[in-house]
Amino acid sequence: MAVSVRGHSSQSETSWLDRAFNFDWVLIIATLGTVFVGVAMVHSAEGSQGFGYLSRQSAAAAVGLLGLLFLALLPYQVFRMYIRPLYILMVVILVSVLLFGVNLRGTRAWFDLGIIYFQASEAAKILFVLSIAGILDRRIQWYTPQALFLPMTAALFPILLIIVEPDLSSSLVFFPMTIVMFYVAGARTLHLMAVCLVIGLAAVIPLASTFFDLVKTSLNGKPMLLFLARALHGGWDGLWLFLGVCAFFILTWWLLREFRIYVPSTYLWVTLGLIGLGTMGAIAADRALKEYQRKRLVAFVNPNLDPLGGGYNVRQSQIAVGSGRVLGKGYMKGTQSRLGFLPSRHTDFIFSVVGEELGFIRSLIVLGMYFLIVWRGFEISLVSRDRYGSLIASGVAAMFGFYALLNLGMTMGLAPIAGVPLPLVSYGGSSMFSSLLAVGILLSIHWRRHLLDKS
Amino acid sequence: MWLEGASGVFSEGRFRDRVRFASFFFAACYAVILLRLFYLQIVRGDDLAQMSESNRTQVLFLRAPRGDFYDRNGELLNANRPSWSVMYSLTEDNTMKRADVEEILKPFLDPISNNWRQRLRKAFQTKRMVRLVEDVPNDVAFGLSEMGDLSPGTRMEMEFRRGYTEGVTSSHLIGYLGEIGERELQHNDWDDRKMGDLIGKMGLERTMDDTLRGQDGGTVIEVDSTGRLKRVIRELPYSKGNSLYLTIDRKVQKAAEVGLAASPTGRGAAIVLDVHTGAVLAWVSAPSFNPGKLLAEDMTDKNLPLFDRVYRGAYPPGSVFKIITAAAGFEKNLIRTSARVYCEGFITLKDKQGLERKYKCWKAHGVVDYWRAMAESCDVYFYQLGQNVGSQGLYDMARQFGFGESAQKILPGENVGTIPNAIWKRRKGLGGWSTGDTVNMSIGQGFVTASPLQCAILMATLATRGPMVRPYVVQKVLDSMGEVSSVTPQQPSWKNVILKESTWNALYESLRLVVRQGTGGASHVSYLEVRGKTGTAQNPHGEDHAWFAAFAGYPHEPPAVALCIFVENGGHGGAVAANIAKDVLEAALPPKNQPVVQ
Repeated sequence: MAVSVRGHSSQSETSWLDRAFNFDWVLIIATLGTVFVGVAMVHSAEGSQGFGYLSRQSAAAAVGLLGLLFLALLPYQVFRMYIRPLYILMVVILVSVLLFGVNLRGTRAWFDLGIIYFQASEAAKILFVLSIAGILDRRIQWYTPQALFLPMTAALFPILLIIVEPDLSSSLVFFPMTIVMFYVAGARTLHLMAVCLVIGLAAVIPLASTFFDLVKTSLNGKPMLLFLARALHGGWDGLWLFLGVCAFFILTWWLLREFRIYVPSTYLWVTLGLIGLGTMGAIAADRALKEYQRKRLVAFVNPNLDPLGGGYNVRQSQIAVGSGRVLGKGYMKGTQSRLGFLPSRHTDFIFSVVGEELGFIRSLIVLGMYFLIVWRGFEISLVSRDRYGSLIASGVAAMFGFYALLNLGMTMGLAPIAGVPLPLVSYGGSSMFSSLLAVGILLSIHWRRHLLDKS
Repeated sequence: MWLEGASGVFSEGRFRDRVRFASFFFAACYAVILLRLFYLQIVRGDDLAQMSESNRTQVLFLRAPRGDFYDRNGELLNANRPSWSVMYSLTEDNTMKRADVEEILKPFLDPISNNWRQRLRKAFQTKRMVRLVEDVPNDVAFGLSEMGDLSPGTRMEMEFRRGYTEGVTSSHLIGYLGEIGERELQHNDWDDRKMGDLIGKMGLERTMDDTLRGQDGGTVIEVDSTGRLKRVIRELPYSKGNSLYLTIDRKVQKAAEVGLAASPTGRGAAIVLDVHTGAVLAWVSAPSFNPGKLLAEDMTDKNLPLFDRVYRGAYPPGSVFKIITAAAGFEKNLIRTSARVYCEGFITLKDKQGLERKYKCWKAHGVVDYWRAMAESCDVYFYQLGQNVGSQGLYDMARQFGFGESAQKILPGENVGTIPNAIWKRRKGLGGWSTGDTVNMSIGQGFVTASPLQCAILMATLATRGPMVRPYVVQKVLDSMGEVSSVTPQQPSWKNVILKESTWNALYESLRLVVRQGTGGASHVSYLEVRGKTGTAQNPHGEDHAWFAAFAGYPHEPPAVALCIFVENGGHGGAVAANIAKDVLEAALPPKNQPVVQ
């Protein structure tokens, strides 16, 4: 296994003590600050009902910080020796949650551990990063399509399991995180784009058909859109549309040929194959999607379509954030959250409470700390002493990054209401615990950037 | 890249590039998030703060009483009366299911309202207070208050309503109120109104709505997302709307209302004007309705009780129009008053096809001069005069006196009637103008239509010998404290009809003869000088319309009031309309030497 030493080359000059305390203090402070703000805001969101959330969230943070300390001191290279067991453990967790999990909020995504509920995808996310990074670490060449196939399948399989739960929202983070990890590991951009095309088609077609269903009445007199709406539902119209798209590509290719622009026919067949694959995926997804999931996705596209249904959350959340203005309404004084207009205010919409009560300036500080975590993740990826550490760090950074983008985008009406928590801030023990573990791994990679690899 | 497919090592340099690119990607995405935060909190902050505020507050509203209407002597034309309204809101209790609430209220509200369930649904949807039923009978109100504990969201509120207790009067002029509708809510005129507000739907209630309505009050409270009361923020007192002093004289109005109600059909209009100022002393359309308790039948009644015949109805004026024909004749020097015409009861004219057509008079008068022709309303005389004057001459004179154009600015939706000429007829697709049309026009038949108001204005203009006033009804506005806030100034005359002095004199004399020895005899009041003209207008829809238009004053004084009485399908003008006019004139101009009895 190739070992590449990165970071400071003049490591021998620094003393043992210096190195021992050479933690990534920026990351530590940003993490602690975010956790502190999170616990405080969760308490504010619970309102005058007591201290239940506060105590549970603090306990989760305390346990999580212990885990963080443990993982920061544990050499992360240990995990590389157990990639297969880690992967199998993840699959076992995800399968057993399907079999033995409890149904909470419409998804069978939780284990009942007696005193607490534990969310399977939260456990899976650490194992996912550690194992997929290990699989990717085995190849140092550029990825060929053949070489890409197995790792990609290995990555998409657990995501599929998560979708089946159905925890659609977590998969919205896992999938782009996978793409980033593959990208950093040396997969060809074009290949990744092909994967995205297939998955994208499979996701967009059912979404668009639901959207057209909701705005059906406004389509009258627009034959093109009506046809599209019908075609997206499948049937003969769907077949015609599919054949039409295929014919369009073939015609384009042929026309280019006539103009003496030679595009290898492989491109054509691969494109057509991908579209076919995506359409098949779409048909499968269309059967699997639940009604409420469709509506949530559509509410993002147009929240005014159904203000008391799916769009209500987006609207109230934006009102909450915006009404904070520059200085906020004051801690524990947000009317949107305290009077119950804000849905899921302690979990998914915690940032709406931050925006409403703390205002623009303080929200900027919170967002800044969060950005520091993501930024440090990628920096650690660059200074890591080995490829495995780099890949883990990139994966963790991408994970935090996508969680934050989706969650913040959702609270501000830029992304669908995906039900994604804001790690370290949202109420939820599993999320808090696993997120702190992830930071611990980052710290471990950072701390060991100068040490020699013993394996 | 696709075909390259080489076994090249993915170098560290490329790796670092890609990590950097990934972190730039996230930085860019974060920038978008920050911009969005800036947009929401800084750019749209005030806007969204406002929305958050209206989320959390609602008003348990209390409707302000509207201003009152008084007549010119300060007598109340209408009064507000207290009434019970049933309100529902979730503020006190939001644990009950809508079906349960419905179950409790059903026995009380079902008999008196048919849309309270929709309103209740609205209360549950919007989580705002709604008014379920207005003007609840006392027994239902007491019954409901006793149910208080069973349905804590239901409340009885005392609110003021329009009540016309002392008999129905001036209904068409004052108009009625109704709840604002969906379409009106979206209209600019009503942009500061909210669902459930009462607005004027007709008459002055509508045109003066902004003046009459008060400032609603209520309790501003903070609610949570389920609509439950959290705390009271403040109490808003209401203030009553402004009151109006109208130019109406209740006595005159009453006399006209009684007269029309007693007429053969009970349908018609009466209008009395002060000729010098244009002040409207009476404005009656019959049949009438009770604005305090509008009935569903009012909307469907064949007699159209909601239709204001005073200015929205245009009817053939019949012989009243002969005044125009005579005036045009005098102006063109076509009348020698002593010249005689023989009336055998009809004339015959050849129409375009050469066929002979008879134009009848209402009786065979024999030999008539101008005075007799006017007094006894001989059609044959005016057929000939009309032909001499010509249709354009009739048209010009009628337009001078305000026919065919809007006469008032009091209420919207006026029917200005029709004064035909050749151009008008051709544009309507009715063919070319014929002598028959002129003949018909000269006695106010055929295509000619006019509103009772226009005929009254014709009389007022005769009374002033030229200056034409616009009628007005609002004398002054009193604010909620009873202080005068505005007084309608003396209106400048709207236009001036210039006729020769001899024309005025001849018209005056002939109209006096109508009352003294002619068809209008029934309107004669012993102590007054009444000049008027009857009309019996044929119409294709049924019985003749009865008209009487007049102006009157004390002897040796300039005329003071003008009036027009119109009875739809009432029959003979002299027999029906002139009778009513007598009572109205006696009310408007009481005997001078006697004390005024209020």
